[in-house]
Amino acid sequence: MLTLTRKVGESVCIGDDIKVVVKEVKGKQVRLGIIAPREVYVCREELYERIHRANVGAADTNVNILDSISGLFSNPKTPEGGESDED
Amino acid sequence: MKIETSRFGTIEVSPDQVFTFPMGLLGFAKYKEFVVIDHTEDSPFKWLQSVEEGSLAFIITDPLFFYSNYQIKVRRSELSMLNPINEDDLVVSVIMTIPENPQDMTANLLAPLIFNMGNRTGMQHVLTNSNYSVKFSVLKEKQANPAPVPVDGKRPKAISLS
Repeated sequence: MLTLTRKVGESVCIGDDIKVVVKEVKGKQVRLGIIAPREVYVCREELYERIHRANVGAADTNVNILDSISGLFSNPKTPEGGESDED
Repeated sequence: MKIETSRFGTIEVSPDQVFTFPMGLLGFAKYKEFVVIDHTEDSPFKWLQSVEEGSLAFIITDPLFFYSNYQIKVRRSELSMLNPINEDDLVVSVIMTIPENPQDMTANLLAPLIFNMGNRTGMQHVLTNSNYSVKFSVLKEKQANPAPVPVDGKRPKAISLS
């Protein structure tokens, strides 16, 4: 891991598009400002890990599972077919 | 165009059915194009199938189907990826995880998918200051109750912009 020392107000650049600014240091807490392209997910690591795990778990679903649960639900209207069904 | 998929065999989709996710999904950033496949005509669940990777597909559903009070507030700037936005074109879905025992199925309410039907773009939006669960137990939680079927044909919206 690359480790750099920075003062409040100073920044680190990651490539051409990403900049991390040290905004404030208070005891054991650091406030960071992040400038990144809008296509890049920026969030706290714990949150990232949880959503990543959920997505990976959800991607591994057997095609037949929906047949096995069809009895659990009735059939209300849902969005999102080939067409928009907005009013 | 034809897509070879691991779950549905070879499927034919027209390019105007494709949704573009400029950021991909979290953990799957390199896959940007998806199509929505009905499970059955009357099922509340659909598949979000990757165009680029035939083995990648997620089960999605309307969160209001099981959680009538699900509401997210999103700043317009957070959805800049989906521009241009007409609020009426936005549709929210959530990704389901359905394990072998379907009673344990969960929905990811913290990182819903937002579709812009106007230009067929989409994104997974991470709610950074929210108490919604990544693993909301659809069949067990007591908040879980379906939204009432609209009488005037107007569906309630799970999203509002600020």
